[in-house]
Parts: sequence; structure tokens; C-alpha cells
Amino acid sequence: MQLTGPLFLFVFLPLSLLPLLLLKQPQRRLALSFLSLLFFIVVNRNHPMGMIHIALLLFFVTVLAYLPIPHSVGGGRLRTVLGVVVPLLSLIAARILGEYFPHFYTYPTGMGIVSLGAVSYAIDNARGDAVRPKNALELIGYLLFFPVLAVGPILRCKQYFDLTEDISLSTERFSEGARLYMMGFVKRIAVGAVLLRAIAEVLSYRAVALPLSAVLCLLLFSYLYFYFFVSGGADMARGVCALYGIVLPRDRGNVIFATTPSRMFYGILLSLRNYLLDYLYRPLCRLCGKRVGPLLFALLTFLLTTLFYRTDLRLLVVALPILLFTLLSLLPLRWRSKLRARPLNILCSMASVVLVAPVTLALLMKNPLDVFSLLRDAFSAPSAYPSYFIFGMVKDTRYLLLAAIPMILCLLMGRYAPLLRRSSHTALQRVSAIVGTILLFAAFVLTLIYFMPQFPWLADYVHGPFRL
Amino acid sequence: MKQESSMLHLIVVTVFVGILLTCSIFYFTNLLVEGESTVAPSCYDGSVFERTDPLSAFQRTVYQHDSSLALIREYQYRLFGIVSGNTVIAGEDDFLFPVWDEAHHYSYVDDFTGKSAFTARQSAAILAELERRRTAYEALGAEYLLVVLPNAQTVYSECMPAYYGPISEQTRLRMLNEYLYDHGYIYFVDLTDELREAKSDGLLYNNTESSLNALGFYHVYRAIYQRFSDDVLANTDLIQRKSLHFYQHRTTGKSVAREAGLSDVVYNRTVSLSNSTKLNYRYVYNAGFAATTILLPFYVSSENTASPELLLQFSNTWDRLQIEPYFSNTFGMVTYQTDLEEDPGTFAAAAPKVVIQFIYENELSLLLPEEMQ
Repeated sequence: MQLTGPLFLFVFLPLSLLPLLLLKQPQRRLALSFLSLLFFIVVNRNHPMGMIHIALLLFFVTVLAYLPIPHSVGGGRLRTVLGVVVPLLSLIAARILGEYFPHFYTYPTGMGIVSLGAVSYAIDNARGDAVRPKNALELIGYLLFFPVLAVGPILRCKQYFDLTEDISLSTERFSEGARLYMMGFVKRIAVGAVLLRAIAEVLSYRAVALPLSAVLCLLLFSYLYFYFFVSGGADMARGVCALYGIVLPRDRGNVIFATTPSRMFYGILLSLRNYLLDYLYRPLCRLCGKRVGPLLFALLTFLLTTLFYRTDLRLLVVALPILLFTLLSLLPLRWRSKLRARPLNILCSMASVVLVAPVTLALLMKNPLDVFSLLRDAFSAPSAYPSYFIFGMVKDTRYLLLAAIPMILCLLMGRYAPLLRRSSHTALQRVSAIVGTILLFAAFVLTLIYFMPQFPWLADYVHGPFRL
Repeated sequence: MKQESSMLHLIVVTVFVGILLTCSIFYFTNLLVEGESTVAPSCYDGSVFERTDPLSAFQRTVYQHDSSLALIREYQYRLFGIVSGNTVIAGEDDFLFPVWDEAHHYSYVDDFTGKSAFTARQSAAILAELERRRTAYEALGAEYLLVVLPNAQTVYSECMPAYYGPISEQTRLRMLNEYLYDHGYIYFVDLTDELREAKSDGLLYNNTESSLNALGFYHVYRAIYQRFSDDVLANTDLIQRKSLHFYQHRTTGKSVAREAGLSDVVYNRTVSLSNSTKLNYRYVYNAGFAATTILLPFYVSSENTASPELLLQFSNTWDRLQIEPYFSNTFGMVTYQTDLEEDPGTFAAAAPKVVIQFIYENELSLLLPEEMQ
């Protein structure tokens, strides 16, 4: 079961909303915890080893949280060190096993979220920031919080308990949630999954040298797929939270129109960036000073973010331009502000896409370095196929045209919706809200009937550029 | 404004919940009331939900829903002109072309684009095999001819999607034909040009199967007839086109349409020979893989007439049934064998002066020795 699957949409969602509607405020967080536990079990029901792994981690974190460790043995410090090190080691082990020994170990859904959540709880607790959960179920509810379990964003401990303090179910909130969910659903399935299928179709012709047009299409498709898949997931998570009466913050920056590849790359999963800023940047600056600290932070952010998307060291080679721009951003360059002026910012955005696209393609390939061989062959080797053969490779070309409509609408809505909201013309606001809603419903129904049955793999498993 | 936006929120909530509940009830009733009857054999992408637990059963109801998948395939074809899966190509004019022939490890697309021509070694092996067959039949007193029936996409290449470009000049059949011609082997007939020229007469192939229809086989018959010696031509009568009446009717899609799940969406334009066609012959033997006909009123041996006894070999029964009226109405005795293997018993009974083997373009690899297939 995933947020995009019918099991969630037609069974879990309607049934789970009932207890929340019936229960009163204090019990709602507890009910959410139960639901999260249930969701976790159903999601990982086909991967017993992964489920046991997470269950053991949860057991460890819970015991560590409630076990009284005497101060004489450095109780607080020991608790923090163990609370940080064990989940991180467990996550690294799961990542490596999942990446290199997939037949032996299937990476469980939610491993990343649970581990980072556990680390967040340990640190916040040590800082005195964490709201101490009333019981173990509430702590488990935070770690397994189901709307974000598979797709993010990464919630810090304090943030979660603040957000779930007041779970209020209202028509407005539910309506916003429905819209966000529908938007994410369309992005992930009608756009993202169609693009992924197109990528797979083009890559199936790799035995012969692909023409340059095909490689360019691959790069563009993989970039768009990355954006729509991740942002769609974030929208769905926010939407589901809103359906349950919780308002999650937005989890992405202005990615498509970002002027540097680093902003584009890190901005897609803003919560990870914020998480690292919160737990890594400040300690580093404190330890190494204000000159070396940011430099180290830039290096570590690059390493962790890239490897978080996929635990393959070869990916770092493809992503090197992003590190370069991250380091450049540390320099006090005066002309940088000029890049934000039009039309230079559009050129910068396009250049950023060119640099980020190979990374997004590398995420999808078995050997990330194959991106270079694809590019080399496209430029040097004579292709066995004429350039227009790309339309044959991408059998769903006409689908892509269809997918382009919601794609452009999503981009435009993301770009101009805030402007419209700020507009003083109430009539314009009203019309745009109604038209937007109608279009969204049309796209949602089309996706439900037409696109969803085409992608059964989206029902159970998070096949994506990265796994949380 | 606030009241209006509250109204909009209410509408959004109502419609959203309505959609979810409608779908829930629809799939649950399908699961509980109709059971597994509406479940397709596989999902859209060919995968199958094999687990039997209730959760997987529900997912199977959604993803393997027969009418849902049929609806997708239908609209995919009607709106975008594409078919699901990688086994069928949707062409122009409601033509569906196969992509891959598993039995002969043959890629129609690769051949169309000129990427699967036989190597020099393979061509030499085919020449040797054809020479062997010809010599063997010659020793038995019969001439041997191999007729290759081109693929539908070879004759109707303009109906292939434009992105494949024009048909290659280096298709397997064309290259083999040139090779054999260059090596002086003339008992090999490629009917591509004749059938292309005959297209103006009507539809020659089934649009949902890479096979010839009755009209197509008439032109095959005509093309072969014209290759007989002058003596034969002078002593037999070619069935004239104007004496035949063909009619076209719609039937459910044939094998390629079935493979694409479109047999009820893309109909086959079937061209059949009219029932009023005079059959001036009778069977003297008709059993299983072989049948023999003689021309009425009675059979006269080729010793006394110049009409040679024929042995026609096909790879499938339907083709031989379609061509039978033409050859049997023309030649004194014709034996049809639904097998390309040499069969001494059939050969002895047929006592042919000419042996004609019919194979399709996608079956050319049958001419290779087993170790090279």
C-alpha cells in the first residue's frame, strides 16, 4: 500500500477518517499513532526482514527513551550518543544492503524517515526541545507518521508534536487537503509514471548507440520525472495530513526556476536541507569556526543528500557540478545578485537543468556512470537509428503530449497561484479558484480511471529516484 | 467572498468524498459480488497479482479489472493510435503489425529497418540448403520452387508508423533474393513487387494479422502461374480476375488484434471469395495434413497433357484453403501438404512434377540449418 495505491485511497483513507471524526481532540493523536502503525505493517507486509529491522529499531528507540540511565554513568550523554549512532548505523546498513544485495534484503518503506526521526528525537531531547511523548505509542506514532513515511517530508520531533497538538478537522482544511492530494496524485501518476515509462522505453534501445535526440529526451524526461515524482509525493503528504487536520509546511523551494544547480538539487527535498541545517550546520560552525564550518557543511550536505537519494558512490562523480556550485555559493561574489535579474535568471535556470539532469538520469541507471557513456556515444558513435526514431522508442509520445498539459498547468499554478492570491481582484480570484478546482478534478478522475490501472507497481512499492 | 469560498470548499469535499466512495463501492462490489469473473489474466503491464490475501485480492480487482483495461486499450487506440505492450504496432488505416515472432526469433521491426539481414555465411547456408532440396527433388523427377510471401508491413509499408521511416533497402528478404540471384539460383520467388503492384485491386492482407486474404492469394496464384513454362501456359487456363467475385466484411480482430487486447475494437477487414465461385474439381484424398484434388470431369496425367501435377506445401492450413480454389481449378492434380517437411509418403502419392513451398517472410530462418537458426 502506498499513498498512490487504491488500497490507501479506497479503503484505508475512508475507513481511517471515521475514528478521527468520532474521537475528541486528545485522543486523535493516539488514533493517528494506531493508524500509522497499521499503515506501516500493511506497507511492509511483503518485506518481513525490513519490517523486523524497523521494529527492532523502534524497540531500541523506545527502550532508550524510557529506560532510566543513572547520571553517574553519563546517562544523558549516553542516551544521546546511542540515540544518534544506532539509528544512523542501522540506516547505513539498510541502504548498503538494499542497494548492493537486493535479493537478500529489500529496503523497507520508511526506513529513512524512521531513522532520521529517531536521531531528531535524540538530539531534540538532549537540547531540551522535544516534547516528551505521553506514552510509547505516541513516540512510535511520530516515528511512523504515515503520511510522510514513504514520501517525506522529514519531520523533526518538535515539529511533529507541535503540529499534532491541535488536530482540527474542518471543511476548509479537508478541502485544501483534497486539492493537494489530487495534485500530488496527478503529478506522480499521470506525469511522473508516464515519464518513467518513456525513459525505460528509450533505455531499452541502449544496446545500440542512441542518437543525440534520444539522449537529450532522456535527460529532459529524467529531470521532469525527478521533479514531478518528488514534488508530487510532497504534495500528497501535505494533502493527506490536511485531510487528517494537520497542516504540514511546504517541502520544496522554487526548484524549477532556481538559478543554480545546487538550489535545484537541494530545494526539491527542502526538509532534508533544513534537517541538516538544524542538526549539522550549527554544530559544525561551533566546532570549526565560521570559515571552515560552512565549507565542511557544504561538503557534507553534498555527500549526504546525494547518497540519501541513492547509496552508490559513483553517483557522486556525476553530481560533482552541484558540489562546485555549492562551493561557489560560499564565495562573496558581488555579481551573483545580477543573475537573479531577467532574462539572465532564465538562462541560469536552463543551465542548472542541464547540470542537474545527468544526476537525475544517473539515479535511474544501474551504473550511474553509464550516463557518461550514453553522452559519449551520442556525440561520437554513428547511431543505428535515425534521429526521429525517438518517437518510435517512446511509444507513448502522444501520452507525453497529454502529460505535458498537467505538467505545464502544475508549473503555472505553482508560479502564479501566489500572485493571484495576492491580487486585489476578487472576481479574478474566484474565477481562478473555480477553474483550477474543475481542472484538478478532471485531471484526478482521468488519472484514476485511465492512468492508475496502467501502473500497478505504484500500488505497493516506492520505485523512485530515491527511497525514504 | 468568505461565504462563497466556504461553498467551494464544501463542493470540493463533497465531490472528493463522492469520487472515493463511488470507486470504493464499485471495486468492492466487483470483488464481493462478481468474484474473480471480471479479473483479467494480467495487469496492463503484464504483471500479475499472485498473492491470495484479501489486500492483494482488492488490488487485483483494481489493476486486473477486465473492463477497465479494455476501456484503457480502446481509448488509447482510438485517441492516440497506440497499443499497449511491446508486441504490436498500430499502423495507418487500422493495420496492426506484429513486432516479434517468437517461434522464429524474428523481429519485424528490425527487419523493416534493415538491421537483421542474413550474414554472408547464413546466406551461403541457405543457398546450399535450397540447392540440396532442388537436387533432391530433381532426382525424384520434380522441379522445386520456393515462394516467399512477404510480411504485411513489407507490402503495406506506407501503413507503418512514419517514425520508422521508409522500408529499408536491406531487408532480409531483399538481401537474400539479391544474393541468390547473384549466385545464379533462380528457383526462389519473392512476391513483394507483384503484390505491391496488385494493391490497386483491393486489400490483399488481413489488417489485424500478417497474413494474406483470398484476394491476396489470388494474386499469389497469378504471379506463380505466370512463371510456368509456355507449354504449361498454353495447355492450362488462368482464372481471370474478372471471373471472380470477392466480398469484404468485418470480423472480430485476428491474432495480432487479440494479442493487443483489441479484437473487439479493431475489426478485421476480411476479404473472402464469393460462395458462387464455381469449384470445378473434387477431392480424391483429404485427411489431416494432406489433400489431393483433381480437375473435373476426370484426371488426365501430365504425360498426356501439359498440366503438371503439383505438390504445394504450406506452413498453415488456412493459407492452403484460401489458395486451393485457384490452383485446383487450373491444374489436373494438386496435392496440398500443411507441412514444409519432406514426406516420402505424400510425395509418392502426389507424384508431382513441380513442388512449390510457400513460406512467409518471417519464416525465412527455417531455411537455415538448425545450428544457425
